[in-house]
Amino acid sequence: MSLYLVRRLMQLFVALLGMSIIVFVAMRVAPGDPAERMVSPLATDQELQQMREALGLNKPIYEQYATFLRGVLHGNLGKSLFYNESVLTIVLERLPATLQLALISMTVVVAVGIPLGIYSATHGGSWLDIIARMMAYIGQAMPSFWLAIVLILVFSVGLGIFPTFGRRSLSCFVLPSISLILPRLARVMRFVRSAVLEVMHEDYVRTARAKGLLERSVLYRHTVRNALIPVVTDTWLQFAWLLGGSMIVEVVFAWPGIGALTINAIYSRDYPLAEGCVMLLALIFLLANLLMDLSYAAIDPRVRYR
Amino acid sequence: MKGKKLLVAVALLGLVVTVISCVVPTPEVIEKEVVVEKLVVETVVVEKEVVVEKEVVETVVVEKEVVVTPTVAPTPAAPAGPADTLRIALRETLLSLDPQKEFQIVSLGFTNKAFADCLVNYDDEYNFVPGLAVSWRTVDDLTWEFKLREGVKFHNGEPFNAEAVKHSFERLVDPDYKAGSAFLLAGVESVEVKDEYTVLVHTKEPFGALLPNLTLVSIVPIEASQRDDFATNPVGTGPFRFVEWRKGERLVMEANPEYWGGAPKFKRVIYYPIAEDATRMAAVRTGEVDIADGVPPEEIRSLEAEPHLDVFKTASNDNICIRTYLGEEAPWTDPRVRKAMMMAIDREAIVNEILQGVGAVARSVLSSALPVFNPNLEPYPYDPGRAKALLAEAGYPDGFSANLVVPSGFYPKDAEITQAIAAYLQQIGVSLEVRLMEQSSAWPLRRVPYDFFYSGAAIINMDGDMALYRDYMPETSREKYNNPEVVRLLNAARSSLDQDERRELYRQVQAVIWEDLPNIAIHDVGDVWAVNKRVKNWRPRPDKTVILKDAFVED
Amino acid sequence: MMARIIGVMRGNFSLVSGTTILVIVLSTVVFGPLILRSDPLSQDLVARLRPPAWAAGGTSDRLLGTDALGRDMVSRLMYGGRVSVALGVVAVTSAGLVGLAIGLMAGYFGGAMDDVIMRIAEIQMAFPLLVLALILMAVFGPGIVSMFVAFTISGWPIFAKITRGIVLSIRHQEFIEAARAIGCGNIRLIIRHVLPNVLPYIVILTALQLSGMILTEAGLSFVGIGIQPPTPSWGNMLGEGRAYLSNAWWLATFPGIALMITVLGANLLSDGLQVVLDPRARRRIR
Repeated sequence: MSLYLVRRLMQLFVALLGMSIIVFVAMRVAPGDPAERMVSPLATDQELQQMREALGLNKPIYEQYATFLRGVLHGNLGKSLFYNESVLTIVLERLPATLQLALISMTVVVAVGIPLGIYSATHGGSWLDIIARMMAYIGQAMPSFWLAIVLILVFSVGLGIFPTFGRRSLSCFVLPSISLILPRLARVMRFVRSAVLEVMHEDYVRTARAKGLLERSVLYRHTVRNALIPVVTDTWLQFAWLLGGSMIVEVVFAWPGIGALTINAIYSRDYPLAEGCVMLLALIFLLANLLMDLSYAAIDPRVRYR
Repeated sequence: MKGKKLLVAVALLGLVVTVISCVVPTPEVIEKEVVVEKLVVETVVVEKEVVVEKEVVETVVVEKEVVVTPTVAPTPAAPAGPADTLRIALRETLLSLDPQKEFQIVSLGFTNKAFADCLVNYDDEYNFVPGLAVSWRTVDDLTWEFKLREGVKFHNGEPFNAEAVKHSFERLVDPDYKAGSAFLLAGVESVEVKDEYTVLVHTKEPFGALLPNLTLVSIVPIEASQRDDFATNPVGTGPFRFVEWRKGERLVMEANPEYWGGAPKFKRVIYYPIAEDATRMAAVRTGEVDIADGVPPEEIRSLEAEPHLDVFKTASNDNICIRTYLGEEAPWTDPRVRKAMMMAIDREAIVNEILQGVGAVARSVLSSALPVFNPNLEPYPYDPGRAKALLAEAGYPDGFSANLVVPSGFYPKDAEITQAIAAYLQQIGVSLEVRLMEQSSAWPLRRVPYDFFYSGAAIINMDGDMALYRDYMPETSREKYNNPEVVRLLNAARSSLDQDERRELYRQVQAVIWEDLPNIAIHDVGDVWAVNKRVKNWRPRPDKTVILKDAFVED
Repeated sequence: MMARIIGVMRGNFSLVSGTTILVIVLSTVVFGPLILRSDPLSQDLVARLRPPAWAAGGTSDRLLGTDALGRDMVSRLMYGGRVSVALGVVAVTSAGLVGLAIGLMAGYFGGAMDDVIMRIAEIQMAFPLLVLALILMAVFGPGIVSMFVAFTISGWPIFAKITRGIVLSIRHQEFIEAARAIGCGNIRLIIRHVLPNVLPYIVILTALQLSGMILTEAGLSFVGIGIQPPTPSWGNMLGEGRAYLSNAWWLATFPGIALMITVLGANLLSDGLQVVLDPRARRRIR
């Protein structure tokens, strides 16, 4: 296992390097550049060129990348062109807000979704099952901005219970969390339900065939573990995605997180900041997937890594 | 059995969803078209309302009576904000606090004016009044002398004097510094310190736009501005001192009790960036913020109905045109085609319906709020018949097709207005493909040949030179516009040091441009702000600056 | 054949209801515009933002109200539905097929292939859709092709991940070993023995991803690829309606409801299909 881990960590490093090149090139291939945004709309072409020169954008791309790479090796992700501050500082400043929201939301999703999914499978057709499934399916299709804004209009403006924006108090967490929880509930419920149904079928079959007790429990354990894999995969991926910040929820609630930071950096073509954010996102995803793969082996011993 | 339960559940949930949508506070706007001899009287009795009965006797006049009945009671009484703190929510997110760096409106108009001062300011009639300079005169055509205010200190204790002014000017134009507003001092040759409180500004040529530009040049302290963290720790002479900035979350400022213009009447200002319109309006409704900008036109009535809010509308220095590219052979290089397009668009309907009356139909290529605006230009009427005839006369009886690039989200209701414009133009045979693009992708397209480009110009210093010079001089015009008369007038205006003479020259320029119509002027942009009634003595300004120092809070 | 289909449907309520809902949605968007003959593009600025007929201020000829340019919501919903449903189905199918194929290979063959493919998938998941869209617009220009590529590229990783996870867990099970022992070739093995275990979850995932795809289209058209105004799609109607949610709720709510109904149908259908496709369930039936 430790050999596997070492291999994976090396791959992580290579993947990050690959990602850095891809995003570096991608930002420069995309139309528009930061100079265009930094000069006033009234700037002449000459002034624009001067700004490009000053920002180092006219240098050949491999030279720019080399500068960037050298910086990274010294632990420096560069300076945001617009904020004029270290990218690392800015990103670390905004990360906690997103992390908190992601953790809270995903915890509730799992805590509510798993029991509901189990119930849905074992009591299929009952009122609770149907209502839960309907709400989940509807919640899943609900556009996030729609849910977010309606929550604000109903609970903040209409009823005055929760604040409308920001991260200024504990009660500010409620509405953004609900916006993130509701669409994800369906997914967990579905996968859990599916898993339980598989187990139940096995159970049913085995009972019908009246096999021995020992074999039944062994098969039962295998089936459960087997069935957990898709649940874990999807849920963990959703969590990893939330760690990167939900852009829509963060913008609607003026939540000072990474999602809004990334999207604004991309829109304004703040190359260093955008690259830094995307690299961070890549790191999160790669680590999350590594942990997920390791958990596969823990859950289901038949998953073997060569 | 399972089926029935399922259907009932679905129906229930559908009902819940629809009910939630209806619970959303919606002003019911009942618009009635009253046409000729038809009397429509409708009395709707609800809690708070205004019922207007109108009897129309004229022919072919469509009157609309609007009855506003808030379907939900006004927002429950919000807890009053702290008495010494003003909370303001703006649409734009701040990028830098350095008073010299940014060209964003939120910087130029708000934070720059809070933390720093300029040598010269505008009063409400756009005359020049002393700022950090108490008096000025032109020594000769190329030299200006400014006498500076004495006894003023920067927030960090550094003294304000001629050295600081010289440093500020040089810093702004320093290429290493990469300031977006460096062009403001492009006409300045050098700055000379005559004595501790006197500065001589030498210009390359006679530069009549110096004073207007100086209303935007912030004066920064020598030492502090050279620190690396100046962009996150600004220091100036302004009415407010910097306290804390959490990017994208909030900016906290406190009053400067030693401000030379008199200490602000409240202790703190907190600025929250809230980009989403619905959220920003919700925040001012609940009382979580006191001032909010960018009120969507459809929200105006319901906000006015709130007992604790005022809604202020103002004309602004921004004016939207469809820029036409004249550098290549195309149908629209013929001025008749451009005039035809102008007359084919019902700009009145656009302003009244889409913008709900916020702003005005453009009557020049710059906003009517500018002092140099020429009010005597003959407006182009909405006349599709004449437009089609003119188009045929120019040789395009069947119209033509083209595309319009629009930087998405930058200007109010751009998607709707441009689609409406396309529909109007379709009626005279012009097939306009509206290309809404993300801003950073759109702006570069203005520097290469294009067909049409939808853009405005917020003239922050309210001056004719900024409004007209770059766009209409052949060397810098992105439209490749070239009219020798305009060139002559613009140069004369730029080098004249007499403000009245300049004003007159700019009016003449507008007259010529209006006849050529290189840019199809659509509408002036109006700004709408929602303000809590506890905030006294504050109004938004057409130059988009937010001056808080004279406001105060009273509960 | 018919008997078989009916046999499958009987007692499988999810399948029946899901199919019914989808058939209703499809017929509405396909035949509705032909029956109603209304124009989704004609603007009427004076009549803009009219509420639905049952609300005060609404008129009966505009049953669901008008949008920000006075266009009829009913016809825009139907024409938009054609676009969005077709788009959603094509997008999710193409991403699903690509992801399924890749996931099967990665999970089955394992080793270096698995590592490389999965790292690529992870990088892809981390890569912002916005940047991808911008590049595609620069390369392919605005329009459907760019959008299609964007959907496929951004959509395949999750299908691949789920597939691969399942394959990993059954790769060493007895029946696979047995089949291999009797000389079953890899491809045949994958198709006949591995795939049936994967399909139920793919079906679930497809239904779950459908709404995401339709919503993503709105984001893409903002950048400039995808369905451009004035052509309606549920995605861009939602985008336009976002600014009016607090004062003209019907602009965003009706496309939202249409989307929810469609996705509900898809999810129910997938619930039903799952039972049909589950090899254990099938064994039980037989």
